[in-house]
Amino acid sequence: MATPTPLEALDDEALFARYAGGDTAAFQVLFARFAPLLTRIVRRRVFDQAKAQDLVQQTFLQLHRARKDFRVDGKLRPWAVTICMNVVRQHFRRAQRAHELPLEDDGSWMPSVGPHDPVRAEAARQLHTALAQLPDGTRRAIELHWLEGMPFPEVAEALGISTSAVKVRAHRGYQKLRDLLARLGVTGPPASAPDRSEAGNG
Amino acid sequence: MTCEEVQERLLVGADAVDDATRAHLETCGVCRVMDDERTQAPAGSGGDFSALFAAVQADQARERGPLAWLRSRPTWVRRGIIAGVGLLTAVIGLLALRRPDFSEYPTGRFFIELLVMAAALSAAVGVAVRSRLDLPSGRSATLWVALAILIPVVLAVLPQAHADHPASLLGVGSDLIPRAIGCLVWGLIMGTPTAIIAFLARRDDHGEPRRDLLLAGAAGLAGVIALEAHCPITDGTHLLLGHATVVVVVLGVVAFAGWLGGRVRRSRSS
Repeated sequence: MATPTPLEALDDEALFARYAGGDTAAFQVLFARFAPLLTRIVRRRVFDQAKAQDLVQQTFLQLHRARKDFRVDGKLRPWAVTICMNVVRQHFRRAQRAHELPLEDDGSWMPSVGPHDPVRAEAARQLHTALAQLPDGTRRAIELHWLEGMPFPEVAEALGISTSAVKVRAHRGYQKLRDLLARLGVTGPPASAPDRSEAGNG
Repeated sequence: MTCEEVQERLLVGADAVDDATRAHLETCGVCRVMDDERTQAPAGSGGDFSALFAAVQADQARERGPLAWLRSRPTWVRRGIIAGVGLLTAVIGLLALRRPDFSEYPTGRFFIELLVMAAALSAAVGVAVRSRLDLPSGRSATLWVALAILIPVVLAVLPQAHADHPASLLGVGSDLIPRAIGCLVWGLIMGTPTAIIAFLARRDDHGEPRRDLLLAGAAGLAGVIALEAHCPITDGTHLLLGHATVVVVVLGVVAFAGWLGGRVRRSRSS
């Protein structure tokens, strides 16, 4: 008799199919996989922890309501990330309409590294400041690809654009980010070791 | 190595990080902070998710009943239900409340008019109801709301379809305003089921002006379609005042309700 596959061994899409079919245990595994990712995405934009948690909760509710929309041949992560980003967008639109929040940054952002390393904490704060200055689409491409580690095709699906467009955005965004960080005092690669001359060796 | 190459290598994982990558990280502050940001989650985004899980489970437990059922239908089904209710009014109008001048009204023109409005209604619903909580662009929302307003206006200013039935000659002179108001009210009543089902089928609990105005335009068109199938008056002024105004009034009501809802939420939160 074949033993049933442990839920942890299933990929995201198979788990979601089970969850959409009413398997609550599958949702528990999915939650464990997606809650940290979605929380990170929200926290990059919403710095109030309670509000961020509320938005992640709303995202899971939206995923639940949209569970029958998910195509079995699709990828779950970009689909969930898109819904999460739209929940955050709606939050800011509502806040701006209500004149509650003129800017997305409420000033309470906490550096990701601990207070024991103030230099890196300051650098991280400057990265956040520089990211906030990038155009919306560019910033999202960089956040999802370089900070969340999503492959370009998944980022493209999440943003609703082509993979090549994501690559262009990420590349241009990265160049702009370097310029912004340089202006903020975070240095790029040294001038004595030009990037291109070493590219072939790396 | 370029910064891009270093970042790509870091994404692959520890196995791909070689001496050249490490050397780049030591000299490049940009790549170092990017790497820090990725490997160390923003404050408050890690740790214990048990409270969040309990809250999410409570949300899911509340998702019961007909409203939850409607919201959880696939997007194409929700679109079909909303547009279907709108078009059902036309069918009811044609079968049970057919205009008395039906045999005199040019058949081709009648069905083209219905078809144009039904297509605009379906398109507005298709643009408004989406699967991933995304919103239509401002341009497409404006376009379809404008079309929802303009189509009945254009139909009203076309040359009169006919004047061969006594009922078609009503609604002019001193009879203009009472008949126009009667049609406006009847159109609003017939558009209401579409508006109700459209707003109940929204998955988020807050209003979004762009999407809500599109749904209002669709509901208004449903009312105009019902009037087209029922009202025999062919005078252009009557069609403008009694029929085309249905869309405008529904849009106005929804815009006012959205504004009022925003004010109420603000006063509650302050």
